[in-house]
Amino acid sequence: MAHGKAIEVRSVTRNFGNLVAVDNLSFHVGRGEIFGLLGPNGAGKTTAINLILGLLKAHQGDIQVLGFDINSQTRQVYHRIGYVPQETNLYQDLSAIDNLWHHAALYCQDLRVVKARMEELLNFTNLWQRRKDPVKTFSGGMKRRLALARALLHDPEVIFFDEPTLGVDVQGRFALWEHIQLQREAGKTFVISTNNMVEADTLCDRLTILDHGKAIALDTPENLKADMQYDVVSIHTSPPVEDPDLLLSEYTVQNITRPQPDKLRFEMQSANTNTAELIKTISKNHQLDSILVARPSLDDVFLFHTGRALRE
Amino acid sequence: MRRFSLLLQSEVKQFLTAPVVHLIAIIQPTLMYILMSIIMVVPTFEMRIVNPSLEIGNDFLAAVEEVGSPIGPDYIEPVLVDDATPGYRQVVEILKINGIPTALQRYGYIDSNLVKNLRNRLTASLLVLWNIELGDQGITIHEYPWLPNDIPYTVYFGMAMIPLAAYLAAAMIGGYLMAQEFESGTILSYRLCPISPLLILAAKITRLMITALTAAVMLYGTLGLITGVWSSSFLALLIILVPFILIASCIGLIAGMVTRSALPSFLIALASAFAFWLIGSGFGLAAGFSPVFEKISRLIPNTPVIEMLFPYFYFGRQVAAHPLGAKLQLAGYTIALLLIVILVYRSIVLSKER
Repeated sequence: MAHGKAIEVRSVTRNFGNLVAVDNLSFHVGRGEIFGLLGPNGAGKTTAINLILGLLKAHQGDIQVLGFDINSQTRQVYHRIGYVPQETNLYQDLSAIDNLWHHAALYCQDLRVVKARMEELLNFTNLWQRRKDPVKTFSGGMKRRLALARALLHDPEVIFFDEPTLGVDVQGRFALWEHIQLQREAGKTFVISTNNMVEADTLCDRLTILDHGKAIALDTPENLKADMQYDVVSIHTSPPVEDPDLLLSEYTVQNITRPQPDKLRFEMQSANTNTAELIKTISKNHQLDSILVARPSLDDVFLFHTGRALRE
Repeated sequence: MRRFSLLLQSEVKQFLTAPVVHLIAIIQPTLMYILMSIIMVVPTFEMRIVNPSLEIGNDFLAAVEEVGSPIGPDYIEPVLVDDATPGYRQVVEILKINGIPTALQRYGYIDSNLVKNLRNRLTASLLVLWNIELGDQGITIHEYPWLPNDIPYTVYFGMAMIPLAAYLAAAMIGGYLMAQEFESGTILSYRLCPISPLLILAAKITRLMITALTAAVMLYGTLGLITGVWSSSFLALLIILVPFILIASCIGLIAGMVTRSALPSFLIALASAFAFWLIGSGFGLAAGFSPVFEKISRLIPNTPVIEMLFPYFYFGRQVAAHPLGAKLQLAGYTIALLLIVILVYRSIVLSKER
């Protein structure tokens, strides 16, 4: 990872009428980092990206991208950034290569190298064979890959990727993640917004969790999960446990929920070291069909901070 | 230049995004002209003759047949009527003015050399018939033709439709495609791009210019093939259309940016095209109507364009009241619209949402 800050967001607030879409948001993104904005729909992720891109005006605070003020030095910034919006804004009736030429005319400073760069990027995103086909014949994943190739065409230092794998099938998702990681290795900085915990966990070096426009946590995914100090336990019994509080009274547990009548889910301190004892306790009066002890996910982190699941 | 060329290529390829709209915008005026030119060629030309006596009337009918008409006797159909009710298109009335027997003619057709010649031949028929009664007060007709040859009205109609064709193509496609950029989200590429908006607008307008000139030339060719009348300078025709197409392109682009929706921008372009055409000398020179209409018509950019085109179809005859004024007016509109489209682009596409 290169040194220095690619993006600095300081105390930024943005309202839409009475709604505070982004509330006193502060973070920085290091050069060569994949930084995530994680949160449910409506958390303020896209608004935050639009503020950083200068598409929206912040009501308070200031934003610098690659050392340039986004409001007063917009053109210097736009030469150096790429953006893949949530809704892939490609010309559907034009071919992949024509979309790239259009982008090149708008963004590329040196048009002499564009052709070679297009070939490189279309090969990189496995679209070279389909380069002459209209975009409307592409799958969702192919469109997202083409949008990524387009965003990379003018060799930007920072790429903003809004919901990278929204509407993309599993195979396409893995391919996109791989492309992003390879570009990061080549020195690019990524800011991605997502509500997909696996995506955030897999891709992001650091992330901030947003809820109602506020940053409620900011760290690496590992640290965020480690800070939880609880493991997540899921059990399946027959007959169902009638009084979970009584059954688990000897242990330090919290957030007991019943996802199905015969299943219980709860958070438990040091569950890994107490698993054998827990099994004994449950097995006294119930048949334990299964037990799963897992480290907390980012969803659990979100649940811990907000009291509700990320997907709710 | 390379960047502009790439942008222009991309703009031209966007024909693929709305081929039906393109075809409608380009071909519709030509089809309309073909249809209207068929309707407007009236095989029978009715002349209402107010006659004090049926006997004289019948004699007159015989005289008309004797004189004939340049394109066949069926073309003129004299009809005897009992009074000269205003509103009839073509009226011949025999009356005494200050004691002098006079053949008074009124006609409400759009000014055309063909109409005038036919009128004169009919007048000749009257004089052949009534010279005896007039005695030594016989009238001799001297013809001073405004044009050396008859030009059918379909030429004027077609000539006035050339600006309509150009306007329709530029405004309709400009508005539609600009609105589509908003609807499909591709406008974001323009919002974030670091190049000058002037270059982007220049590429868009150039592409509309190509489309509009295609539509205009198609109509011009059809007009020539149907009537046999061609402009004395094809280059002049194109040059006159250029500022007008710039105006149309700007109006279309502004409509697209303001409405951000394809259908309203399409309708605005369509409505403004036909309003400009109807008010702006589309069916006859503004000066041929009422003074109030002429004043209104001169506010529409179509009128100076038609007045500038006129000499190239009508043997160099100038019809603009103030030829230089018409040119300046067109230039003024063009510059104003170009400035407005730049301002609108900056305030709608490039501005930060506050």
